[in-house]
Amino acid sequence: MEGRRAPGSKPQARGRGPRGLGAIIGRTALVAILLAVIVGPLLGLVLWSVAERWYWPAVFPQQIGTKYWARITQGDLLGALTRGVSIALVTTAAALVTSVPIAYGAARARLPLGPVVLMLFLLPQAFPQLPVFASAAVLFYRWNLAGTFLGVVLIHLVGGLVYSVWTMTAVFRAIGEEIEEAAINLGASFTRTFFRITLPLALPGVVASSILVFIYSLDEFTGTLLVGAPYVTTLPVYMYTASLGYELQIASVTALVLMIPGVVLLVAMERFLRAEYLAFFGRL
Amino acid sequence: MMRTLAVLVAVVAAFAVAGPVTYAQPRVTVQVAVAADVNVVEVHRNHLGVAFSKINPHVTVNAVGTGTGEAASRAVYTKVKAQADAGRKGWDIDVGIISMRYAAQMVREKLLHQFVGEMQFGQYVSGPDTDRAFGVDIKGYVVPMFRNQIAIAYNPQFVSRPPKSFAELEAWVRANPRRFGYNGIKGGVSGIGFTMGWVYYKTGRYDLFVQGPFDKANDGLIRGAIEQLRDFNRNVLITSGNAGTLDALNRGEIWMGAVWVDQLVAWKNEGRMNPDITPVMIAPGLPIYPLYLTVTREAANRDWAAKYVDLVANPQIQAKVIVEQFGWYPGIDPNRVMPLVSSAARALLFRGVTPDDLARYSRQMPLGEYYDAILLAYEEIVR
Amino acid sequence: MKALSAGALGGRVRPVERARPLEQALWWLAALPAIAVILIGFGFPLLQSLTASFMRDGNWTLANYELVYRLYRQDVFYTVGVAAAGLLLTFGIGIPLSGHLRLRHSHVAEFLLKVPLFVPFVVVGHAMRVFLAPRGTLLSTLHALGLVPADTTLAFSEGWMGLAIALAWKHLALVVLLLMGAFRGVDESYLEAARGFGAGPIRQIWAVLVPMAAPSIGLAAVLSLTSMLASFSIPLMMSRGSGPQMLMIDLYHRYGQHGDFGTASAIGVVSYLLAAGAAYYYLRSVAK
Repeated sequence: MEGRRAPGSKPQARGRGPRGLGAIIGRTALVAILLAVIVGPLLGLVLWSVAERWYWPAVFPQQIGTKYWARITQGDLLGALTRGVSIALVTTAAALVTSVPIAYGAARARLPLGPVVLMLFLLPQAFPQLPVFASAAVLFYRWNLAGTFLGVVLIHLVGGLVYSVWTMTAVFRAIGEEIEEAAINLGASFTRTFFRITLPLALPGVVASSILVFIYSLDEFTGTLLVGAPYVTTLPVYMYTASLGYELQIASVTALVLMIPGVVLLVAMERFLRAEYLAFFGRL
Repeated sequence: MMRTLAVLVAVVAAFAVAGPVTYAQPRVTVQVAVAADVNVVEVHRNHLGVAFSKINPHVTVNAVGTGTGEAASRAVYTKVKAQADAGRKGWDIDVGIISMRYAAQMVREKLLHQFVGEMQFGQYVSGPDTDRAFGVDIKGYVVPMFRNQIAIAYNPQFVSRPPKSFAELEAWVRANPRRFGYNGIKGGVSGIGFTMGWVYYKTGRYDLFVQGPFDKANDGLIRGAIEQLRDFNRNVLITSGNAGTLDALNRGEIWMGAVWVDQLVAWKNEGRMNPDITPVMIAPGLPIYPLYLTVTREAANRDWAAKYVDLVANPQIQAKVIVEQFGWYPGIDPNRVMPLVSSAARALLFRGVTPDDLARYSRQMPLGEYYDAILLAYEEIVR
Repeated sequence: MKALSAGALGGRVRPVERARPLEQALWWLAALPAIAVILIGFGFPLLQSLTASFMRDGNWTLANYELVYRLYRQDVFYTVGVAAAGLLLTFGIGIPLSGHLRLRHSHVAEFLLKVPLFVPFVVVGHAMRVFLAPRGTLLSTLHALGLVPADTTLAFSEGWMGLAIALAWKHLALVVLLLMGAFRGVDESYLEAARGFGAGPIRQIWAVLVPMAAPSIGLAAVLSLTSMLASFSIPLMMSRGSGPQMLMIDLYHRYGQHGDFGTASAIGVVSYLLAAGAAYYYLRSVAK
């Protein structure tokens, strides 16, 4: 996706800085600092996850081992992991199915309907989530949704739909109407054009949406804490409980496990999260 | 491309099905909601629940924690109440392991089943805290899983003469600022217990608070005591919870703290705590707080729930698991349990806090209305 | 053919206008579930919390707000302060960093900066708590490198600074992503023109990139600020026992420990107002 440029403008220059020694040192220094700042706190988690015995005044763990990593195979952590992943998958599927129609509508509709729709879905993320979710929990208790799989999926959708709706809208907007016009002029119906022409072209956006919603749902904490308790626990809630009891090793193991899907997807799908895609977020 | 897509779809489907399937229960599953710290949940999950399944092979025990402190018990109460209000049958919590405060409330609101009379070991359930709690008649509704005593733990490396009374503690704290810690009123009941003990000490009106009557006019009395607590707190480290105090003690950040005796023993057993740290009681006293096993009124597996409580109340289990392994004070009649406990375990259990100390300094929590009033005063006056 | 006749008149018919009435109805129907989710999961609960904040024991009253004023007014200032500090830190680092990366491409740096996006809020809270603790891993490492003496403690993690750092760490990733997107959308010719006038990298960032990307910066700022004001997971993990708390922690305590939905909702309304202030500003700037 190159994005639209005014005719006659120059393409982006990429990294054509001076190649002198100063620039190289500067680049290395920047990467080193970023490594320390970004990765440093995460390394602390790694340290705690292998600390079999560590109490003051030792500066580093007195005994290192994988005892706490073995807990992954035990019931409660594994259960929280499976539950979390399946909730995330169901949420992602539901998000895609529900947001594609409305995103397409928002992308093609006349102003101001499009921006209004986008703002509507932004609201759950713009408003403080805890009070709204606490109120939703009160309602869910009444409707017998509290502590259920479905209830948690629902609350994940509330916050997660914004990712799929906004991404899909941006992607649909980027697909010019000319192609659809061509198909329609050749006799295809509006809906058929969408499924045969537009949607396949929007596949990268669908993938990007799926990643964002999946990760959001996997990492969701506040809603799950309020609505899912006590039977539907996901990894974040499990980690919180462990941390409350000062079981820092288990909390750290859980934290690292939580990060794995994110890191895998980050590396594998790097190309779908090009910054240019998100340039559209700045312009309604 | 199509193949990877197919594989992806298969994996997704597998996971999506696995989630709801884990809830499908062909056998009987007794749902146990534990409103206590993680260490208590694990006792049920890894020891008591497992033992129960061995005796009853087609029954599983699913123990889940609902948090810490009073909020955890409140979560159980909310869930049960919602189902009661909706008129549902077959509630999804069979056994609620909750604090005294919420047990009293749930009895009052008729959410619990009176089952102790049908138990095999029901006759061993005795003690003033099984008759009345927070002003409510709870006889027959609750079985204490254990009793938990709040005490002051000190590090002998830094504290040569532990205080024997609140007055001595005050003086020590003034001389050693920020070396004493407790968790305030959030994150755990050890701090709440300490606050109650403080109010008993400063007002000297223990009987009024425990037996009543509740009179709003006594608010001034409470506020006076809490104002002095605010001044006391200036030289104190407020931790984030029960475990927070223990952690601070362990790291040498504080030298004395208000703790649960059982949690202290558990941490020592797990190698997370310096074994020298010892608990003591201080005059006029600190609260003892039982954790109650209750059966909800319309529990889906009500009979199995009662049987599970019976297992926990079995003197053998109380002696071997509750007392010896985890260092709690027995939930049922101690005369039935202690003879079954090994002398080594008994020595560890009563190290620092002897039965004599318990008899003299152990206190009850106050009436529900006074409890709330004290907590509200704390929130308002102490920041 | 129909299309030709429309084209022959010089007018274009947009594809969406070609949808038959039945199709249109079906599309509207297909769009409903998403809206239903928002209404049921967000709209209705939001309204309920508004009304609940004015009720206690079934009566209309301002008692909840009075309690909030009595107990939590300090925390309002604390929350705003922490969020502001976090925002300053995020953009103070984010803008120069993004600008630099626009001018001097570094694939590794950009990749590193995406990492916090994929670290959940709770994990950030736990990691920072362990990292910045009075005797945490940061201090241990510095000590092992011989940079600090043995008995130092870092009082960071329990105070507003630790919170601000944790919040900034997490939000930096999204901010840089948004800014990079906007900066890359700025045509190279503008920068070349600036360079032609002798502007160094700093001037290029401040005089060209920032003004042209202002809408994106505004959006990123509003999203970050409201997110920090309403932060719950991170303060929960880094919780301190006493002193001022973030508003969401107070709310959770009121709701969880006391079941006081009325006062909890009142705190919620206060937080809505704080967030709405930021959002209103954004809408105004976008409407221009």
